[in-house]
Amino acid sequence: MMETHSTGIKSEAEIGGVRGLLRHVYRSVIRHGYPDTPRNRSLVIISNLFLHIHSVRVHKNSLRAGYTLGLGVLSFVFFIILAVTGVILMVYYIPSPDQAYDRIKDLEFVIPGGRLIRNLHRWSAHGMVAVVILHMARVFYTGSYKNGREFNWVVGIVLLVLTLGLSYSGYLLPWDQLAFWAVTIGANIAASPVELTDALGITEYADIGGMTKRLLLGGNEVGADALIRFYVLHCVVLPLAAAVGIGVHFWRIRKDGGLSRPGEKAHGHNGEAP
Amino acid sequence: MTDQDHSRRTFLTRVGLGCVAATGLASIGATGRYLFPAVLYEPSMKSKIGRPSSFADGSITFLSESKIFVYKSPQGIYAISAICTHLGCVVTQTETGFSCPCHGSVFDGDGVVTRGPAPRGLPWLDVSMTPGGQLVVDRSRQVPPGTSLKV
Repeated sequence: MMETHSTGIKSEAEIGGVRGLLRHVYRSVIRHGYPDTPRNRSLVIISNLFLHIHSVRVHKNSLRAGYTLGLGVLSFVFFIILAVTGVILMVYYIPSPDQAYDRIKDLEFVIPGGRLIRNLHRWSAHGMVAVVILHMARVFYTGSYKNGREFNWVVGIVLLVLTLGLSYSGYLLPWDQLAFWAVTIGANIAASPVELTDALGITEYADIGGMTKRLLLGGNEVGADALIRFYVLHCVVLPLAAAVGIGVHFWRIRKDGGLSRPGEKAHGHNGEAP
Repeated sequence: MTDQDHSRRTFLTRVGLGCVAATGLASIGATGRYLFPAVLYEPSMKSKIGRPSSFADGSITFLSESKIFVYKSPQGIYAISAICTHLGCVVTQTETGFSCPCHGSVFDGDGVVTRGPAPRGLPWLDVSMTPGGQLVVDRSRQVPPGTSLKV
């Protein structure tokens, strides 16, 4: 009650009746008064799951678009688009060698809006890889990985690998010639420790390359088992890992002093917390 | 006395943590083992390719199912794998031997690498004959280059 009074809103006890009930429901969702005081403006942000990702107060220099180019946010937006369109695609796609290719053709040529959804997914995937690499370049060239942000750089590297893994695992799913040979080649790259173990003469006892390949393909050749494994990786394992990684990445930005920004003259360091 | 309590507590803590660690490692190990395929739905590595008479003298025949080239020469019959030793693409026949469409490796007629990136020559595969006179190629068994089956 004290809380309610302090935000300048009348409590339901003071109003009563249906209006009081509606007020109660509203207050249980929106737990702050009108954003006309600094306190309520802060509450708008910190009492909302989606808004609280950003800090209540942002340094003026953090808002300079020319510094970050919004590349991190762009990567995240691509990830959201990919998650949504990916779920929609899962409704029609069937990960079996008999049906996968036909289902992709159905999406392209038969299902209303299928081509739009598939192309949104496809181009966002290309876009995400490009933007993640550009984001990494921006962080590198502005020196934003320094001054306590080293750990978050490493989290970013993990996210880059996950992005590439998602991109690659999605490549097999159309089950066309391009996909088939790309995955054949990829699986053989994964098996390349064989060259080292062969040179050492220990392949017989420790066939790391061959094991990796069999683990990835579920066999020795690209077939039904490889398709279902890549499907599970693409739709469940890697997106979940990326979502957790993104959460840690954002959380660390806040803990490391907010978005990196050009240093002030007194500090002289890029990305240093004030 | 307190020392004794303390050491008992330490001991039990270690036993507890040890059990948790052992269970965790066993779970990871079992899950890892689970992920390795126990059943393979793949064609057999051995394939019957017909009778020697079905191959013309001096011919090189490509069998797309088993991805092999079968040679019939005066020395006998031998089979060379068509799978590039670089990254597993299927090589195509050229006038001088074979070339890989993926990364440009070139092999001569005996499967020896004449241009990279392939690290090794195309493997020669074991050819045998069934009592019924059918040729069998075993793709899981390599033989030294030059080995051929007299027919």
